[in-house]
Amino acid sequence: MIHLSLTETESLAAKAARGAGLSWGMAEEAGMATRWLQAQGLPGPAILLAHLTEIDGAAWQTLAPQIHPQTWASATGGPLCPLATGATLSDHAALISIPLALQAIAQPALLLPFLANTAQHRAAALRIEAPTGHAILNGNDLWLHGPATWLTTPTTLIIRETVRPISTAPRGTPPAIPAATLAALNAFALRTTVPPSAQSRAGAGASGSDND
Amino acid sequence: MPCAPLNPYPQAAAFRRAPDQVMRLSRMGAAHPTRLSFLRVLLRQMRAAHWRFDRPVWQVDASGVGHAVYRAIGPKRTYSLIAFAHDLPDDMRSDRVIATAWDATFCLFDGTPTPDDITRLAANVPLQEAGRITGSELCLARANRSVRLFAHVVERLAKGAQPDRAELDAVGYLMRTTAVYGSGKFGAADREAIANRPELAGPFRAEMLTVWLIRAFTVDLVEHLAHARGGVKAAALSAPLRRRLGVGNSTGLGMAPFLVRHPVLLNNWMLAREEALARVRAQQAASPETIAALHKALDAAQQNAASWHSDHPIQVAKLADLRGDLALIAAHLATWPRATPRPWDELWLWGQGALSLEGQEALLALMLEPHGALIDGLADCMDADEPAAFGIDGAEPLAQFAQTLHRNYAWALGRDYTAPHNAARFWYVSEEKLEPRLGERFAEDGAARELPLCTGRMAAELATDLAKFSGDGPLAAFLLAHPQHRLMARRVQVSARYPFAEIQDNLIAASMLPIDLLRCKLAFFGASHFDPRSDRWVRISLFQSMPYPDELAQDEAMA
Repeated sequence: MIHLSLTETESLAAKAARGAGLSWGMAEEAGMATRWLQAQGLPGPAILLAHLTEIDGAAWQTLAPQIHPQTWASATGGPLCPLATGATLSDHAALISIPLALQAIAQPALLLPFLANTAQHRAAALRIEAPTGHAILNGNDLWLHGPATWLTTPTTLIIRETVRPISTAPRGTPPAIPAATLAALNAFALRTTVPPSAQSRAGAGASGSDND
Repeated sequence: MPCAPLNPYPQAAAFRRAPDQVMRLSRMGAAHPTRLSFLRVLLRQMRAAHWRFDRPVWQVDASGVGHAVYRAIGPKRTYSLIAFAHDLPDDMRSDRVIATAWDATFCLFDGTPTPDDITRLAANVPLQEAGRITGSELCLARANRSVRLFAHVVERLAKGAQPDRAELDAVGYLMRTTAVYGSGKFGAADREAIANRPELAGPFRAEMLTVWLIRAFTVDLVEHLAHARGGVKAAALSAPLRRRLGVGNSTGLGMAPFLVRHPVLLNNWMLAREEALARVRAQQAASPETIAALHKALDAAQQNAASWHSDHPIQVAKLADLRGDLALIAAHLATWPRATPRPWDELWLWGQGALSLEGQEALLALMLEPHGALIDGLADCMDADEPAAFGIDGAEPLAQFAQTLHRNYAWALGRDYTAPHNAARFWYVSEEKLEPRLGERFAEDGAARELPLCTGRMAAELATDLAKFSGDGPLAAFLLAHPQHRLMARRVQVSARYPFAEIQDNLIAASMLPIDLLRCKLAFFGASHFDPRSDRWVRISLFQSMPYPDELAQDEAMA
């Protein structure tokens, strides 16, 4: 198990998402989302890894949500991509009408950071209902109810506005990351890098010795 | 922190330079440190808050190997530099990020370290990137000796003599740092964990504190080695000579993408500096005190230019410009201020017509120098809440968005990016060391993995697809169809709110000089003696002529 700073977590997540084929701008969103989950005490890197493994190399058309006034659905009939759906939800924060139903969505936890932005934008608390549990978001404050399995299992969701809970939101500490998770994310991230060449090595340094 | 609510000088607005004048690489590459530079602000803050400094641990043997602890003790918190001194064979000394060993390695610890902390850090800090630090540490750094000067100073001091001033000036430092990592790197504390502390709220404060304490360590180390060699007859370095030493820094391309990746931060640095210049220009008169201070600053700048060496042809030409321009400024000041309203504005406008870019930016630094009371508060506006600027306003009508794009990126849109000289380079991260590099697009592989630093071309591609997109819906609809433009769309919206966020030059052009990016950033740090070693590698000096920890409280120039 390895502890990463939140900065490292965000940077690795963004690179890994880019390595899995998302655009740079979407990769930034994945970095932000993974950092947010980790800061909440949820295993963001493992959740992101599971999702990137699933969507590795997928075309945007298969990831982008189909937007309808009350329901969003995937183009393929499979579960919605939480990154594509989340970023699109953020973009539509002032445009959507709530309640909003989301057809089955993969790794629902990854949607929460985007809904936190949406909640902030709408200046309202949001209740995210799955069949087996629910979450309430008020800005970055998160309350989880019911068994947490729904956070990582494809599930339908209904998003409603709600009143802010009176209780103080629990704050977790960033969990340590399993070495295998880290290695797999690094493997995705490595796809954004360029193998060395004699020319690239030679060009990077100073001309002359450092022993002066 | 945004400056606008704090700005009590609305009359300054008319005197601000426009972004299309300021945000050009040629001018950014002529930047000089000012009194708003981060190391100056750090020293002012610590002096004002009566920080104390001590060295509770010095366990270094006669060969110069061991460790030491330097503490900076503030009103609320203490920070400690833990320095590890090593015995480095010459054949392992490299300033490149590919190095695996250094003459000295350091970390800045949050508080006073226990022996257990030091044991833990002794197993990690000397490994640098290959080790891990924790949230108890704020920075990780390393430094190499200037072999020749270090040996000369030890040899002279050991004999009870002082080093040769010319030799000392020719280098300017005993050690140069080759990396100073902060902000969560390698496990260190995240920026957000410390950003609410007044002493660290400004940018790069922890990094500057680290380097300043390293400077004290380098002098202690030569004196220690001189004493080990010369015994009781060994001398301490004289205070005036000691002042002439800074800490060197050797920096490559790794630093270059930073300014592009942090547009809001870049804006806030530039805006504070530009607001400072505008405030100075807007004044109705020049007081005798500020005139005297300006002359004093010019003397210091001329001394600095005289001791500034570089062999790089680009910098040699710039230094000739600078020295010539400082002489022109001196001549102009002989009859300045004349009986005109707004003499500072007259001085500035004269400089714009008479001086090279080097001289103009040097004049800016000179004009800020006498005006601490007027401008120092702007240092509080130079940090940035980047997460707050991350969100995209998807409801923005596309017509309005396109208008912003065409207004703020006019510099980028007319260019033919299929012409080889306009797309000659690509920025990428090397697989080997995970460091940013610059490739030749038409001669090297790897452009498929290009980093999104080609802002001009991305803006042009966005404009092309935007023009083809049917309907005047919201931006959200466009991004749903074109996710590849998401990063650039975010930048365009940032540019609407932050006028100095974008460098208005083609960053993949054949003629682009990475050292221009480096110089701009390093000038904001407070670096002097900018000395390029190639078009993408540079040595500089930090804290040269500034007080040491044992001098700060008495130093009137810092007040």
